[in-house]
Amino acid sequence: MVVSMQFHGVQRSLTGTHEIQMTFLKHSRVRDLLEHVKACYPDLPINEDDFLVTVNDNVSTIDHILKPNDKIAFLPHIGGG
Amino acid sequence: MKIIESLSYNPGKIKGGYTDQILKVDLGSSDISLIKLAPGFKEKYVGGRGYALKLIWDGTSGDTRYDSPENILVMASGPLGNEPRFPGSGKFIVGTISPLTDTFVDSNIGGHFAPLLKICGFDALAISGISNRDVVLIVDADRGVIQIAEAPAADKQTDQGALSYGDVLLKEFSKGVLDENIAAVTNGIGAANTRFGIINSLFYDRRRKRLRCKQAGRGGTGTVMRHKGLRAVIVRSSLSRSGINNPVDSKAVKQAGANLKKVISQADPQQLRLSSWGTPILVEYMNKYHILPVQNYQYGQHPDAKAVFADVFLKRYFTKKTPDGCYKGCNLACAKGAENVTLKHGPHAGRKVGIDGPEYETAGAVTCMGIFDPHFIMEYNWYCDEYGLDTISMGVTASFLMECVQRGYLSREDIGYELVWGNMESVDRLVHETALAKGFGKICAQGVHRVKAWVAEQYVAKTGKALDEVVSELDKFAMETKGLEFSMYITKESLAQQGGYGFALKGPQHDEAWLIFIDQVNKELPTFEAKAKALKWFPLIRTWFNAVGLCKLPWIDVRHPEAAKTENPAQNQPTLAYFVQYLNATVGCNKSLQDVLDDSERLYLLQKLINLRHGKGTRLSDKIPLRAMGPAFFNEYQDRSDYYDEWLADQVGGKEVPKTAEARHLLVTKLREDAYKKLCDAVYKHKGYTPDAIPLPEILEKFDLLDEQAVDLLREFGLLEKKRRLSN
Repeated sequence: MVVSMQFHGVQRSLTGTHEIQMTFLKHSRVRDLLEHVKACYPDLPINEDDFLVTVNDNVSTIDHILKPNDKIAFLPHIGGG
Repeated sequence: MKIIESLSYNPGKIKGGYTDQILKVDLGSSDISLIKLAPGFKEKYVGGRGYALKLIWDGTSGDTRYDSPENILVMASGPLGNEPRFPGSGKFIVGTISPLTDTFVDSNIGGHFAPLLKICGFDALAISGISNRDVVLIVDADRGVIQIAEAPAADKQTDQGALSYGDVLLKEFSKGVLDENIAAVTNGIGAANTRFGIINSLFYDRRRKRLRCKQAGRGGTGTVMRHKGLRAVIVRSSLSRSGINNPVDSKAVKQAGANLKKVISQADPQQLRLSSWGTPILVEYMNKYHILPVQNYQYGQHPDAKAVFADVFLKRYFTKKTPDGCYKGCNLACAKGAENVTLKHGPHAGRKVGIDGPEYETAGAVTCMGIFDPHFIMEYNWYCDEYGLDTISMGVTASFLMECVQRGYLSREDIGYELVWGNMESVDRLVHETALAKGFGKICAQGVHRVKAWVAEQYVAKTGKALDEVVSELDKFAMETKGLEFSMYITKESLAQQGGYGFALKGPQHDEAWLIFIDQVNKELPTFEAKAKALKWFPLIRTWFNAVGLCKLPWIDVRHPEAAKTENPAQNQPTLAYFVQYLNATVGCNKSLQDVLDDSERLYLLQKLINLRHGKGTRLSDKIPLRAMGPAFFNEYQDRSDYYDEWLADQVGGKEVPKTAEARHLLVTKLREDAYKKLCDAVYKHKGYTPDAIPLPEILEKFDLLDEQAVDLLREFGLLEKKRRLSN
């Protein structure tokens, strides 16, 4: 199945793209996607403690089982000025 | 400079973060006095906002307005201000009775001014009276003198600028040699001509070799300063900043600061990267989550928004690899700036200037006017700073006028030119006209609340429609509450943030409660009870930051790695522990986080009392525009119909939703209004207020706030009898 990883802010700047698509086996989890992204972009700062996982713009977890066409993002915590 | 009044003094020492002395200046009588604070004052009112609140509570009345001679302009840091070993310690508060809200407003501001004021021997500066000529106040610890001087004359263009005038003034004062031992606050011509004038905090940046500025932006504090005839305050001390706070436990201060610096240096590069991108990084996330206030908060996203994302400013404008903290020792260093930017518009066109900013609020204010041009944002930023205008209130007022044109309440004939979304030339013209009190700018200068009344009158005169009906329609999209323009977030999809703005005592500014992400994105506040708890906790902790002289960003925008393991990760309590440790080590107490919150609650309630005294403290004053609650007009509903339809289906719980989009829109807005009313009920109850938002006597008694004035006030609201029964 194909899922999308979305990049914003610093991640977008470092990867040079807003979104990449990746193919995973059924029952793969967000955790698998994260490992894959880290392998593709070793300089990308994505530490699961520092980010909020969203799947299709809803808060999720690293253990979420991916579904076809899911859009995943790792968002920084924003507390406002 | 011609000296009007002079007082020699010996700068007192700081002990445990306090000087225990304030400087009072009456500009009407040119009286300068040094006031020793009573024992117990600092324990009860902490510093910063707390000092401003107490001085204004005691020294003004419900009849005091921004231009009353007795109105007091207070500038105060706090016990934790001025500690280079701890990040974010250059903050101070400017508090006064606002020309926009007619009640207490305060605005926090960074730079070297407050640390130097403290080293000069003062925890706060309190200015009352009105001078019959423009003056400058000088607090010079090096010479041991406090002086009121005639403001030196400059050429017309320099005289109009808060930055230009400050530069000339400080160079004259320091005989041409600027350094970090001198700082000033100034205002510009915009502060003289509008209700949303700012105070600029100027300090010398030895890396950039020029004066930089930060702003007390909200509520018209600069307007008050200018009305008093005070062009600038200069402070000077050559004493070293390091260790001068004389903390009780210096080692523990150092440790607390080191702990926080470590978290910032390790976590910020992994998270928002404020240290290199500055706050404009937020614009991209605001656009993603439909909270960018495009076209007067009608739409939360725009396809052109990427033109004003942070990376654009980083690549094109910001100076890179320059530590940009607004005060010594801050390794978050988010105060970004640019050098040699050539202005294209306005009276300074062609001039190369250094620009401090933009902050994300300024970028948001420009998108509010439908403009997505980074260079225009830079220029708007500079001109507002130079004139001394609040970029938020200027942008929101202009946006309201643009929407009045869009909806037919105003025409080209009323304004004199096309004021339409995205038109940079007309916005540029309006900014200059507003600052200089020319043409239609005189109307804009009044802010949304008063402009709304003016538009209604004009429209009624033209159409013969009923005034009430016209005002009711304008109320839907006039983005102000209590008289203050909303800051730059759309709240339609976050009920908690609707409360964050509606209940904010100074008016809708996010520094009291910023709950959008934990509510709208994280979904951490699913119930009214959870929202009510957050709407008490966050304002209290944020009040504390404004009382002690610290910046909130190192706490709220850099998440501690251990926070995820706590019960409320958004509270970031592992980092707050460093702040409490710093407090205890500085002043020599043993407070817990709850003690800190209790201290803040006293200040919060005192501000509530001032609001009640000035007619801005009841439920009616917490009312927010329909647009803050949901889609005020059908076009807004259509723009997010998928979201609203899903929300509606959830709300009706299986019942059939209306068939037509128009009917669904009406139902959405009705349910949103109902939800806000329920939120008010829940929050007032949780805070210990009556259903009309008045604090119960026992709450005020608990915090020792029931003085004679408070008792009289409660009597007006019919609560005294209740207190008597309780006492009996």
